[in-house]
Amino acid sequence: MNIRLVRVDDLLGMQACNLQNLPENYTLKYYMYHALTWPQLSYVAEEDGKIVGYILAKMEEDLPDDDEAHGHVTSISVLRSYRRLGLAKRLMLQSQEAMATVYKASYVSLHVRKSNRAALGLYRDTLGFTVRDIEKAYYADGEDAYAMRLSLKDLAR
Amino acid sequence: MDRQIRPIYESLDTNSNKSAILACNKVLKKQPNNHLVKALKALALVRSQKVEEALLLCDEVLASKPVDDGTLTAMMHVLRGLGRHMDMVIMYEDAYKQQPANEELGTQTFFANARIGNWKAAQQIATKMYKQFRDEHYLYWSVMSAVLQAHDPTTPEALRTVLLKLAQRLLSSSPTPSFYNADRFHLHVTILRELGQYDDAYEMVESESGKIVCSSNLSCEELRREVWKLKGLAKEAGERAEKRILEAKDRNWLEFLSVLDATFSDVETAKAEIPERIVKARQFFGKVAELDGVKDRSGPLALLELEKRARQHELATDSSSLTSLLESYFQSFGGKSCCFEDLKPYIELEGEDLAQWTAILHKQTVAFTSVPDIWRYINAQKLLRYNLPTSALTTEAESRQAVAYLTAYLEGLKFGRELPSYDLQPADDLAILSAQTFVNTWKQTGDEAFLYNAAALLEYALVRSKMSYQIRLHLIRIYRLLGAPSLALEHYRSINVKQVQNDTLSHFILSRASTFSLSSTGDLTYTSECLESSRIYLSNSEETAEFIIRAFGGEKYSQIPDFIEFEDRLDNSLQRDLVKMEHVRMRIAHEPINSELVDMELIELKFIFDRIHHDNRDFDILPNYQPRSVASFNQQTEFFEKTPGLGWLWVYLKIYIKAFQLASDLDDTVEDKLLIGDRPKPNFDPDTKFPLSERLAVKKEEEIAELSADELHFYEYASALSGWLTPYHDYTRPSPSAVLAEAAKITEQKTGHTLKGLEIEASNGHGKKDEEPPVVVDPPTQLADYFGDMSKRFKEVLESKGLPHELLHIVTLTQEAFLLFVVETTRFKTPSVIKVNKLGPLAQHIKEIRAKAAAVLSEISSALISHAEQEATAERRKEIVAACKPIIDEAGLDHDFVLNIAKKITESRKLIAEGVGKGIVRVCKTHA
Repeated sequence: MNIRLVRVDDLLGMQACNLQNLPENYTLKYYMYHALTWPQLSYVAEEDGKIVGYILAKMEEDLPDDDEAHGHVTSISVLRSYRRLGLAKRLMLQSQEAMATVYKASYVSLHVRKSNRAALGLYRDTLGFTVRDIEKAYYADGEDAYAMRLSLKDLAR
Repeated sequence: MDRQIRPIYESLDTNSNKSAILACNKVLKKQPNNHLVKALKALALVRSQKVEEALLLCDEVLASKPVDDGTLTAMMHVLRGLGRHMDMVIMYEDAYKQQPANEELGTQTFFANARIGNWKAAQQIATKMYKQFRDEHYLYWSVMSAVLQAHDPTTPEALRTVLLKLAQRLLSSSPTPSFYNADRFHLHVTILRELGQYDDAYEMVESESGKIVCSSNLSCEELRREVWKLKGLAKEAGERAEKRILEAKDRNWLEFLSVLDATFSDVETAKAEIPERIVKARQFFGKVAELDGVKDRSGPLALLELEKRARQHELATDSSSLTSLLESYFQSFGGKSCCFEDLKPYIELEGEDLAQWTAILHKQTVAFTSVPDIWRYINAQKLLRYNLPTSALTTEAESRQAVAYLTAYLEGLKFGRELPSYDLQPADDLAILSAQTFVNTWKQTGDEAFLYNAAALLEYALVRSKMSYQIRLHLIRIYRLLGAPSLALEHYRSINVKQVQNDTLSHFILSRASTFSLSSTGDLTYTSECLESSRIYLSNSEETAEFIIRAFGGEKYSQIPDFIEFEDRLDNSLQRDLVKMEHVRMRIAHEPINSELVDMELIELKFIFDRIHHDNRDFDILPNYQPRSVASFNQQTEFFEKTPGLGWLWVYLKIYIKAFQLASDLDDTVEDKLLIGDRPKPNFDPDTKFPLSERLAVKKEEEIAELSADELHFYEYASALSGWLTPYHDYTRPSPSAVLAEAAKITEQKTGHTLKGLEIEASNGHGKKDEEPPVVVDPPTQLADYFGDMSKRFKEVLESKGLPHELLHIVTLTQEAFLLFVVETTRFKTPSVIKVNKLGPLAQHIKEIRAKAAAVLSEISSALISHAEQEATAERRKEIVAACKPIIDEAGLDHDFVLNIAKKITESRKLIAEGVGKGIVRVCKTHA
């Protein structure tokens, strides 16, 4: 298993992860925008040339005056058969580290489906995120999302 | 002025092209020479598909050589819409020449070239800009452009080094060293690497500043690793990796591979040393494995890989160690679903080893108490199945096994009761194993009963795991075999493929899709599926090029080659053109066959014939749990076990280009004059340099190997048909000047303007020919006998109760053969053409063949329609349910559930068979 920076042509290989886990519809442009604008924040996990997981992350743009610079996890996905191996955690840590050191992010935020207990457990128990807010009908199918965040102050150098 | 222009922009912004055109006309009335307004009007026209009118304005504006920003920007969009990128380059070059001090114009000129991959010109412009504006990033643009020109496949080998040397020289002229910016550093090291100057590259990455860059930038770190490898530093890399693994707790597999590569480095010269190195590596990996326990798989996997490589080099000392490593891996990670994939490379065992391994796996029983238990069982079953010899695959054994998997699946469902509706059952893979086993039995026996079992049990599993794309992909394959395309399409749509998945996955539904198309009856479901899946290619050409420009703007040099590669892979995707071919096949069954269709498709197919394709199709997404002694599930469920690929595409392109060429009045000179937009870049493949007529005639083994027997028969028919008719077409085709005059006349009728750039000599259409008409010969036998042969094939498959897709394959090919005949004989339908050219006997032959074809088709049609009626009867449903005895009686699946699936299958089958049958009647009537 290797974790490496995402490349544009990974888009072709990432589709299996998306089929399974990502009902949202991100355009080609959106992926490319991530890769080009914050090239240090998005990673893929590769096994024998096959992409089995990835994290797509960005720095939040157009911040209000009272908010600090922070990162946001747009999407994180691990192929089903490669779950429970600590992969999501490794992807997340790699991205968080870059958010803090490269972009001086003071925290990272993400959204998770209210019903997704497995993901919630990962973010809260393994990675130390806390729930900040509930966003009503955040997902296209009407489900609510938890808005979560984690301070990166310890990682800053 | 502003007051007049603003409403035009506003209309364009809101896509109200009509009102934009009106607003433009208002201004142009008073200022007929306002180029900005002309450009904006051209844009509105392009967007409303009024290409001819737009062209006229566009050329006027270009001739005025605009320099102002507004006009240039508007024209950029117009030219892009028309696909005239070359003209865009010229436009900006002209503007920049007029205002050489304008930095923005220089930048745009550079970008215009970059957008079309014109690296040579881009490099020259960037160099000029660097001299003039002294901004260092222009220097790097020029370096990058030189590197990209060196990479371009059309650049001759000898020139490549020259270009890289040029890039290196340019770099050395930079006032600041490259390590100030990671991307510049990356570019610099890349150039040294490509020049083979590994020592210099090594020095750069290992310098004080180089180390800092590599440690903070993963792309540079990857490059560093590669440089080490190229310098032959396997041992040093291994030592470094050991440190990373131990001290930094790095668990990237690449590090472990470095240690393994170091262990076996210089295996020839240092053979004596290797056993000792193996012992050391074993200790090292053992320590890591112990340290990590079940938290990480890297250590144990490295031990397995070490053992495998030792065996390959015949340096293994303990014969039982591989099995004991396997056993211990299975014990630690058998409860993880990746265990099977992890171990697959290491289990091709024989004899004693295999017996021992098998015994270990057999200990895993169905008595589940937890989800990891289910996984341990699933992994054990997959691992066992992988090694089954053909002798163990008897029909009895396999059906028993399929039922056992299904029973275990039903048992395993208990552990997924609490899951949210979008989650998947942990036992899903047991259902898939069961289905694959049934499919294997079908393959061995030819008895379609097993396919019904597979379909019904998968449908059941899908009720429990609604989001399982795996189950749906299996069903798509099985339903296509069973001739139930509407069900296959339903599942495909439920997978909800998006974006780039349209390229990688659409083969599941669109491969040979014309077999299932009802375009002949006016049902355009599959036709529009082709168009839908192809939209990604258009957005790719628009968007990716813009990102290449952005990457230059942001100096992200390390990403530029990736963007270019990605754009190329989608632009020249094999699947794109396979779908295009299917679309053409569906189109001719639906639309009137006239010059508009023929000319347009001819040009497009000829472009495709010059492409170098990339196969992006994902077949691995379909898991394979068949034993290694038989074909993979993917292969087993392809039509006739033949996957259409490049060879298949090439054959069909040859067939259709030839046919459309005969039917068309366009020869190359005419085509050049009428073509809008750029031609594709010339291809570097030497094969494409031969004259088209020669290339069309070549028949290659490897291409034919991708055809089904009936497709090959069709190919022979098509070759015979075009060969026979070529001389008569060549003799009767109107002269180029007559064709151009006709085109000019049509344009004038449409737009009120004459066609630009055409000087037409006066001619009175069909001039008197000097030569005598070619003598009419009898049609070749492959042509004359074809429809009779197909009638026999149809009866054969119908009587032997072949699978529905086989029957439809034969029927749709016969219909296609008829349509091809229509395409190639329409010219001779006009009585005056026959009379003037004295081709009476030809008309007679054509009439006879057409009558024969129509008779055969009508016979096939009525047989198919009556076959369809038998399909949707209670009796047929009962038969299917009876065939599903194993899953109902033995595994206990609900009888009514299966009956419902049987109903769906038979209805879908009826629909397609009846539709195709009725479509034939329509096609024959249209082209009577």
